[in-house]
Amino acid sequence: MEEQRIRILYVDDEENNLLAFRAYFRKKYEVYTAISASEAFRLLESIEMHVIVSDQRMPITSGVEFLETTIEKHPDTIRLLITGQSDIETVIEAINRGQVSKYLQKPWDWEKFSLILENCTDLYKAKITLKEKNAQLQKTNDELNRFVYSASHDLRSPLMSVLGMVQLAKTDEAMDVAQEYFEIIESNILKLDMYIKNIIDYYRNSRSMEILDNIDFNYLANDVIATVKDQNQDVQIEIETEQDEEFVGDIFRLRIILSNLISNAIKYQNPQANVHKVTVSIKSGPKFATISIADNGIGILNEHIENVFKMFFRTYNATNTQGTGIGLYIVKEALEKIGGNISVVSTPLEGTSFKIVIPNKKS
Amino acid sequence: MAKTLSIMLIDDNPTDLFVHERFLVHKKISHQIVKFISAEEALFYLDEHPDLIEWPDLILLDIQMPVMNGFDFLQHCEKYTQMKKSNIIMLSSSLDFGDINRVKANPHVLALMEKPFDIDELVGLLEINGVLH
Repeated sequence: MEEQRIRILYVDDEENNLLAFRAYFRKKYEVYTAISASEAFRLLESIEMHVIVSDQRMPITSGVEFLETTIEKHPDTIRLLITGQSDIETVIEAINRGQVSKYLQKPWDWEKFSLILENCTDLYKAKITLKEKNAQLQKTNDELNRFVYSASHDLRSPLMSVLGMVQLAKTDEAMDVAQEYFEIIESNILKLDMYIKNIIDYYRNSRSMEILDNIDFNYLANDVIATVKDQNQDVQIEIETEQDEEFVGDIFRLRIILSNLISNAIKYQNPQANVHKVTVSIKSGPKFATISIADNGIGILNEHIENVFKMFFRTYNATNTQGTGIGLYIVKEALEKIGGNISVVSTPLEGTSFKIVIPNKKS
Repeated sequence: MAKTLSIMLIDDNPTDLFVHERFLVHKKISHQIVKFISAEEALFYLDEHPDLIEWPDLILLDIQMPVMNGFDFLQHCEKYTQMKKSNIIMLSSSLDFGDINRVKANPHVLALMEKPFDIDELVGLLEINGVLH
């Protein structure tokens, strides 16, 4: 790509300065000059300048005043002020009001002037590059948003059609012999669907801001349990909630956190145990809510406990239940977003207990 | 279950149309089922039959359809006065937060159900709301 020539506008009420400036810089830059602010405005209307250099002492409009008026229409342009006297007030005003990036004192040394203009050029280029990168990033983000929408619908929709078909076939008496096959097909579809849902949850969590709502923990816990309990009907689930006052939090992320933890507690039960139990206890206070989810399931081996929150970490286990390896990772990420934390205690073949603490955002 | 229903199915996915029809037939809760692969076709059908003796008792309406989606269909249906006695259930394979709220806000829609829909849940819903006795 051919490098664009930098366009510099120099405004000064002394004709000789304009001529000297043009003579010195015309080879290096595309130089425009104006004898007054009004002439400069006329030029700016038709030509986009990259750097504007202005003398401070001009009749009618001062340099700072002039530079200030160029900010709105030319936000990317780099502004440089030249003054005769080193007056700190003017400099402060120039920086604050005129958004002046560079400052040069009269009488100037041409080499110094040249160096400052090079700095201005670099500043301008950096500004533009940043802007372009931002636009690219915005585009990538938009595309990702569209992808997530498409993944949540276009990818799941045909899968749900197949699931409907399998469920229909299961009701057909003529298909009795194939029941076992349908069960297997169904469980695999559900697994794939869980995987897609997890990825969408992960992505939504990483993207969106916290949305605060009033939380009724008893309602939320029961609601979450209703959606996950089908995974193992033999499990007894107990809920204990203590909530005396308002709790404000991100219901979307709390739902992700609870449904992953409770679903795990239900899935990883010990087949040898007589009773399968999951206890969800929630204590909601003015500053924090503490939630514990305890089961008497297969537990987690000591050497694995460090890894359970890592992405795609999975173990082999007695229940033959294979997770996607993303659930607890999402839980941890979601907790990070809302300023909570999680800890886990587990004894193999006796059970696991997850404890989470989340801040109340009431105030 | 004495009463049976006249049902309209609108879904851009032919597999879903087929599955939903078969479930409804299996449960014997319908005496007539009309299926449409797009909301436009369903509207065309309603326009062609203004004096429809049997306006559908129940419409199972998919949300995500190309060109005219479920919500657009409902908007177009406002002109039919008979629509008031139809019970509408919207279906979607992805329960979007925005969709859930839009459904709640719409007085004509009985419920939003996730695909694949659970026929027993549907029957239960219709019984609670007095659509099926």
